[in-house]
Amino acid sequence: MFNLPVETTWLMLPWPFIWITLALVMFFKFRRDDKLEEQWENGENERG
Amino acid sequence: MNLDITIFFIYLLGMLAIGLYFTRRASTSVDHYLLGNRKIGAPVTAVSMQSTSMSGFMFMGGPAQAFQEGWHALWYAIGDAGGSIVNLSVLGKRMRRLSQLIGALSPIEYLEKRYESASVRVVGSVIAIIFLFAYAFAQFIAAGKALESLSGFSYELALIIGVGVIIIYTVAGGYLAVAVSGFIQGIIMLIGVTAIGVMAIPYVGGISGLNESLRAIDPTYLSIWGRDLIYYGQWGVILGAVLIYAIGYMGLPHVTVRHMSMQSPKTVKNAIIWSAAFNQLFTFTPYILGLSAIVLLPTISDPEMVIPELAYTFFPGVLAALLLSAIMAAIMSTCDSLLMQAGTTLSRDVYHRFINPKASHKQVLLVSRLCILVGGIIGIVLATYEPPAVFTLVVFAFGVLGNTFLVPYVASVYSKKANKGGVLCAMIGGAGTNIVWETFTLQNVTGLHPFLAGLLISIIGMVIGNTFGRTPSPPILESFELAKYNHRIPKNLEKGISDDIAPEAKNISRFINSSFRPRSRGEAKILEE
Repeated sequence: MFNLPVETTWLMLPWPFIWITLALVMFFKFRRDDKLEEQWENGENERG
Repeated sequence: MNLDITIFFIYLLGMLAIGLYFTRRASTSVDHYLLGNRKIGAPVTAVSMQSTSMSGFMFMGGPAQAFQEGWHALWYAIGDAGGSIVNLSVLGKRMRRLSQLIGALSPIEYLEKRYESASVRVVGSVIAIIFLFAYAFAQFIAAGKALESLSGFSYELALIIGVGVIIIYTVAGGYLAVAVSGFIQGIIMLIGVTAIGVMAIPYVGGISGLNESLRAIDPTYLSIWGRDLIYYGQWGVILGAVLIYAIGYMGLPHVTVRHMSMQSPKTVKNAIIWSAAFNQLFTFTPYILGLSAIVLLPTISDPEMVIPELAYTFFPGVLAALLLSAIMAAIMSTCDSLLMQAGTTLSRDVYHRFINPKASHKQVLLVSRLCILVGGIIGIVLATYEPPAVFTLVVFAFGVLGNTFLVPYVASVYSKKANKGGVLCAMIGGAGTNIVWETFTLQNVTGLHPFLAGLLISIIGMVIGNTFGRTPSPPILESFELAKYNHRIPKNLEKGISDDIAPEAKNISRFINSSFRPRSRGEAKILEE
């Protein structure tokens, strides 16, 4: 791809996608954590 | 006056205006001056974190590396593209909470309070002050060099203009000015580099055409092992090249302070998305431009000037003007944070902690401002001698700071057992290894990048040292647990009220304790009223 050797293509080009995937995974993880925290603050955990 | 200089001066005036705008707010309290009262939102946290991390290296050192080594240099860009995502994900929430729970206002004070040791603060302060100033000093020279070659000013005049503006707005506006200007500078950097990239890359036939041309010049330019396969099979060098920026930012005090200043732990998730977008758009282009210069400017005498040369040779006018501001933005956004952090360490961690513990808020603020001012002026004087190899000094200072503080910061929020013994071994071992590795160029002998060597020794130092140190006290263990589990944090701490009410809380506590002693009827009546 892009006239690069196979080794360079496979070892270097996926990285931007890996970083974006990591960012999205962490975003959703932290969003879930924040929701749990809000539930706790509102006392929903005690009822549930 | 040329268009590029006019636009550049408008940019400088804008930076000064930011500093002056935040002057009054910065003077409200030490917390306001050093941490922006912990009210920094996600976009400013993310973009200023990245613009601070990247420095003038991205416009000068990085492209020069790509020009000399080919695609191998992209390993550094790959690490850089994920640096702040990793940093925010690993440290963000926990460090924000713990720093507030233990009442730390500086990253070095944070280490002392977490590890309950004044010697940690002494060692941390000494290393931080030496290498933060060395790092800032290198940025001064870069600013002078860039402005001299782009504007035609003399080096001394360029240095005084560029660095003078940084010192004024940092001294006046404190951390808030540094963070907000860092955000604006990050956006200018992105626009500048994207504009040059959009113009230059089609000029060489896109990425495919560029690689075809590189193959024709020397096929090893396309290899991951460097030109002439100089690093062939040396995975230790490649791993170190990726890790120095992917995780190294977690060890830079002027970058980790961004976690402490966030509005709340909830800021982290949005900051990660901002970082991911900004990094993928920005980080790779300077290196690709360095590769383009192999084709477009093969005879250039100073590889560090490939991006300015590309802009001024092929795209003069507004684009070149934009680039001048973008390069200076990259340098200034790092330089102001370095000066700010060095000033904070001197005022908060040295003066307030060891010289004058009873200093008032006003005195600490004054000392902080004076330290930044004096450090800046000394830096200008030293930089006029213009020592060579600016970016060698940048990489060296970066590596030593990363190897000193990375393991202590990560362990502070992930290892309950981490203690004074471990952190001292990690800091001294990490810094010492990096210095020895660089001084004796052991990378060539061992095939191990200095950063990777320092990191390994720092981790080993932390593990072994922990077995000798004292277990953290119950209040620290409790804070550690609170920082870990977000739902158990008291709501008032999240809102940032705790610092404001801390002195009052202490007085109330004293009052309650004293109220248990037997009282006369008159005293009791006054209390009831």
